[in-house]
Amino acid sequence: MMDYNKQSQKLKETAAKLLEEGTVEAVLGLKDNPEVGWPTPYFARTAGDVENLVWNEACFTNLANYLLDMRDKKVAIAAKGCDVRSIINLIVENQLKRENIVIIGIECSGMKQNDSLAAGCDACPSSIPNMYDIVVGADGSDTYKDLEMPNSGENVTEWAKNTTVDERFERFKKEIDKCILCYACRQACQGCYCKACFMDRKATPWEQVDPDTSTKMAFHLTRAMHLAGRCTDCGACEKVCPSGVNLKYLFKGLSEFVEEFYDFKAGVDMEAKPFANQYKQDDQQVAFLGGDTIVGV
Amino acid sequence: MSAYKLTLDQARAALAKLMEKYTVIAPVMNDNRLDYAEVTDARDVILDDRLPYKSPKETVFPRVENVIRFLEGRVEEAQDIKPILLIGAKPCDIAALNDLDGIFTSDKGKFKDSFYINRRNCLTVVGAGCTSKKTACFCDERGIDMTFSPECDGFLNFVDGDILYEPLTAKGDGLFTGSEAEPPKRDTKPEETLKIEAKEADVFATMPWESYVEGCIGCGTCTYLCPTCHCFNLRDAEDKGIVTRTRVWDSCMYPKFTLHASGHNPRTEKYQRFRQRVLHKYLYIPENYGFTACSGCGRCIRSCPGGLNIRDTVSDIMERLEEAKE
Repeated sequence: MMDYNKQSQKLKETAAKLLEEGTVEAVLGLKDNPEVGWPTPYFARTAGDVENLVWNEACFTNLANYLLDMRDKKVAIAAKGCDVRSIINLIVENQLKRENIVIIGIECSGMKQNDSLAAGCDACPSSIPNMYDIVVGADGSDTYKDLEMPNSGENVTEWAKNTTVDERFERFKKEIDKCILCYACRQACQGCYCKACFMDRKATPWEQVDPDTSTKMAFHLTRAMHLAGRCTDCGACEKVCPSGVNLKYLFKGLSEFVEEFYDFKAGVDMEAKPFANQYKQDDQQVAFLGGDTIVGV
Repeated sequence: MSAYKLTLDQARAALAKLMEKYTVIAPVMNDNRLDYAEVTDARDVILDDRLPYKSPKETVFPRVENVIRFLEGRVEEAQDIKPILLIGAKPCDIAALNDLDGIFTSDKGKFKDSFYINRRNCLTVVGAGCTSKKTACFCDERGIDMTFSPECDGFLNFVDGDILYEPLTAKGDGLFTGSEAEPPKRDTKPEETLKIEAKEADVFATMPWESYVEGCIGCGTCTYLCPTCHCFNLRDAEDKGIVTRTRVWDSCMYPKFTLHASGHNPRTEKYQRFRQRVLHKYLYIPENYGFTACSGCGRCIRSCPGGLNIRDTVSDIMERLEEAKE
């Protein structure tokens, strides 16, 4: 079972040690924020700062993004499975250097946001991070317990299989109807680190903040294509959305498509090459030729 | 003017009648969230202590507004608007509407915004008070009485399960009627304690701006939910020979907001953009218009994924200014 107090204790001790020894410049974690209702990002820079670090069932924020701002510095990060998958993806894509990051791998069996399971948690395969330097087990000890993962009962894959193209398109339209094009999803996404996003380019007809339906479709569909095989199912996009758009209906199928046809899953192997950077003679053609196979995912 | 007492059911019946004449905007549940939205059934209106998630600024300053349309050989200006009745606006949101009025319609501004004025003239505002301070609320520090605002057309008070409607202007007179009653006694307005009184040079380069924004992801949610943020962009789009000029919200928290045509960008860093947002409300608008444009609703604090906090930032600046004086 989860013991957040013991995990917090271990995290604080570890962070203090790393900072005192000078191993890292900062420890990236979360601090309490009653006004927001859940902990928000915090950089502990001195051993005295570590008292502000917290770990509890509302620590759902994916912190991997913040490493991009500190990519040339040595930083430790309090990371759950989803943060680690994102870190791996960023290492695979040459955005982060493994040697600059000390991963405090915190075992996690799902987080809560507003009393319900946080977005992404029901798609999480394991309570143990895929990569770590320091172990913080479920009970705060040095061993992982490999806990059972939660299941919300909302199976997007099954839903996609049992619906028609029209039904799925209706669902997509219903979801993006809520979108106000604030781009919070893009900003929170570990994979959206482009210096100039296609939506921010001038001189293109879809470059707009005008939230009409076609612009919203252009944004969400293009972003989804850009994230195929790069999305780590962390749910950060849904967690920050001020309008409650369920983006998993768009992304889950893409991840599964890439896994099925290209045998690649983002955030698993640090040594892997991005799937779109590889060419094999027997590559499946479905992504190019279209047909029922794509929409049938 | 005296007040009118009516039961909740009578108020709902009156509201149903008003819906024939007005587009009624009020707090209603919207996907498990309380929002100011158009009312389709008077029974949906929720008047309680909760603060709606979004601000009601869209009633006078829509996210997307058609300004003009160029059709073949003729120009079509913006359409007339049906009268709008905003019910249940909280005192902080009413204060924010007044701030927007000051910016878009006052003589102090360089321009009077005809589109805003057009909508504002069509708008009748009926307020409703809060009974408690919610997390991140700081309207009291901004000098706003959470229980009552005299700066609207009418006010709904809740007395022993009944409603006491208090008309405050000619526009608000006669919206709700019932047996005559005395208006409730009012507390004195709290003092405005959270404000920056300094020269730009004293705060621009000397405050630890970078430390305030470490968590910022640049999403701009704060500006979208803020009741006083009012920056916009104009854009022309052509579709099937018809060019529509729309005014859409913009956000100073986006890097592209200040990108010049030359390619130069004076605000490339997050801290520069946050500094602009804070100082625009607490320094530049006070200098240009004579009031601070923050109503203390706390929406930007509550909804910030990065945990940025304008109240704590301003209060930290005030402390530092005080220390510098000594």
